[in-house]
Amino acid sequence: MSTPTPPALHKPKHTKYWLRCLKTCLPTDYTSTDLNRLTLAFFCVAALDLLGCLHTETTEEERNGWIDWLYKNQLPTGGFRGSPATDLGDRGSGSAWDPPNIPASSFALATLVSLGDDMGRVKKRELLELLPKMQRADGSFGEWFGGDGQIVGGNDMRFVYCAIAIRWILRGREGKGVVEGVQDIDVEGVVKFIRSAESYEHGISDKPFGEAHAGLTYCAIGALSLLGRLHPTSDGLSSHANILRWLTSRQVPSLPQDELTDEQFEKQATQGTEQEITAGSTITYGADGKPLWAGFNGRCNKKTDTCYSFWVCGSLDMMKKLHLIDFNGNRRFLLEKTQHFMGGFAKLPVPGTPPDILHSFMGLASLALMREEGLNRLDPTLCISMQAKERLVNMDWWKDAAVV
Amino acid sequence: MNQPPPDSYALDPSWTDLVPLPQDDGEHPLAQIAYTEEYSEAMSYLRAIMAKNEYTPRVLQVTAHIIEMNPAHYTVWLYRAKTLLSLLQSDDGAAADLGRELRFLNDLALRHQKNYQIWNHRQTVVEAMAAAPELVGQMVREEKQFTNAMFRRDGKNYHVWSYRQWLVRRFAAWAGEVEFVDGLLAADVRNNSAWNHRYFVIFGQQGEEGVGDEVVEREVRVVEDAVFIAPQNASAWNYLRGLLGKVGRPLSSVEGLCLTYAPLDNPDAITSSHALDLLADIYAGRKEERAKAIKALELLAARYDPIRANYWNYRAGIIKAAA
Repeated sequence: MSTPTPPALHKPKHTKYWLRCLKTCLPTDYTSTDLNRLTLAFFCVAALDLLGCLHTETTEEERNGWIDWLYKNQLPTGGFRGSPATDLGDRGSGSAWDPPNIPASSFALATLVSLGDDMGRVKKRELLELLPKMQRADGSFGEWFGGDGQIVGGNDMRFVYCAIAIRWILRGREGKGVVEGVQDIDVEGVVKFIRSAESYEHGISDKPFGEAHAGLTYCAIGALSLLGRLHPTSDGLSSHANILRWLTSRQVPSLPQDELTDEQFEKQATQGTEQEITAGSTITYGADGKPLWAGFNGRCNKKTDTCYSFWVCGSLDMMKKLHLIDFNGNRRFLLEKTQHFMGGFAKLPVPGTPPDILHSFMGLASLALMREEGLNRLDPTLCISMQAKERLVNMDWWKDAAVV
Repeated sequence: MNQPPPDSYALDPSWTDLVPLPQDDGEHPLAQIAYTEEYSEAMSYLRAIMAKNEYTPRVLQVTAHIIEMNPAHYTVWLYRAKTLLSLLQSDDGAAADLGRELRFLNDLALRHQKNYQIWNHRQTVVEAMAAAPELVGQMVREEKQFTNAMFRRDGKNYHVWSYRQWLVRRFAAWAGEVEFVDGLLAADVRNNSAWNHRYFVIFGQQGEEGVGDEVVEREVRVVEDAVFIAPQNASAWNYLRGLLGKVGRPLSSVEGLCLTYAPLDNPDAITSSHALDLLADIYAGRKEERAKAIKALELLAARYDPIRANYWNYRAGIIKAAA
């Protein structure tokens, strides 16, 4: 009898996966993310930072080259474009079709910090001045700025989080960064918008009466945290007790049927024997009486998915309540059900699902929050390593200078 | 249909006036993608025509081509929308057929279930169609039918639900929505999106006066029926909590229902952890019954929901500290 291998993070494989993402062309399938290349760049850089090898497995020359590339995607009027794909060169200078993008700007700042840049070339004032122009009357933010003052894109929490992260990074400690004469956003409007999107289940949704969703909840809690409105006595949420119930309810034990494709599941449900169907929905318990594997779903009665291991754990960590989840169940779900043998993490625990950039980062990030050995610690709010955040908050301009 | 893309923009007489604008990725690019030649060429012509701010019928051709290859390309959608609306106002009005645009979107939405932009664009198109008031009734019916078709593929598609709520509110199309939800819940009582829509339909259209007692009674009965079928269905219990909270009824008003599924004095007969959770809240609010609350939480931690043992113990700790 061989003893089963204990679950482990295959660090060299993950390092290899991320170096491949960083240094070689991504497959054609990534074309659908072409307009979010700065976001993809963030995941690649931040993942290697979490693995502790960003500054050992890449050269200073490479890192400086990537920093220059990020600045090349900064617009003369401030803010970053989502991708060189919208760069119209000399012909489109100032064109509405090469707009600053809020998520890209937020991820560009986080990537620059992770790469060790001092952010000296960031057009801080211009970017901060862009934020109030991107805010709608209901307190929400748009995704990008469509020339003639048009705020474009959905109005959900993703853009709220990104806008608030930009503000927090650029304003510096207690607003000692670049604030002189810059019009601020409507902070009360943001808080009101978040409150309006809290559903009857007490997770956060995309808008009043929307369905509670863990990704949007993370974004809302992150924004509240960066605005200093997440404290239990603060007014950003209806109550911590309410949202804790919803967040902790997202962890669900794995079932064998979670590993079936939709077609296989359908076949089992319609043609399987009673025994097969029962076996498919039977939880495996460990000696301690707890389920062995338990990841997270993003909404009530949905299936587990790697990214929600981060969205939920990150939310709970910001609320100082991460200890309320079952670490072992989440860890084993990630390491044994979605970790890919080639490195990276798949979205679903279905064998044969390839890893992708988003889920590969989220898997690592969730493990880092649980202090997995061999990973750097992650700041749950900014979603960068603690070391990177330390570098940021110790920059002169951030600490005490009113840089023009 | 949109005019099919040319085999080659460079060789097509209707495009040769444009000087393509190739992508400048710069040195040391991050997240470089292995674009197909077809995508690279179409993008070069898209950039060139965008730089000219041209709003002509051929914009619809190149944008449809890009969207086919990358439906999450965000600026291309707004460019297409502006072109459509601009053509509608011009002599080329015939080139901008909004009905055809919706059919184009139907096909894309069915193939790209997770895409946001398709639904934003759909709102723009539907708003433009609403400029003709006599057509609104028919359009809203057709829009509901299309979202129904989407729900048959995935009854929990977030973008489609978000769009359905927008549609219903925008055109005050509340009629039939409760029956629609009833149908979805009859097919899958665990469909949380359908429960959420139910809450939207019941409470989203009311004014200050609130809903009447008879509506509340009916909704409680809906929950009673649902948990009878599936006692361990969190969606129904969450809806019940939401409902009671909204109309200001105490949780204790459903103590009897909870005890049916979680008889505290006969733990072997407990069939719902959610009923136990509710009982814990009900009893925690009564000083003399806190011991019962602790018992419910201990049963949850040890037996009925051990994955959340830390959470249930935390709740018990709060009650003990308050005692």
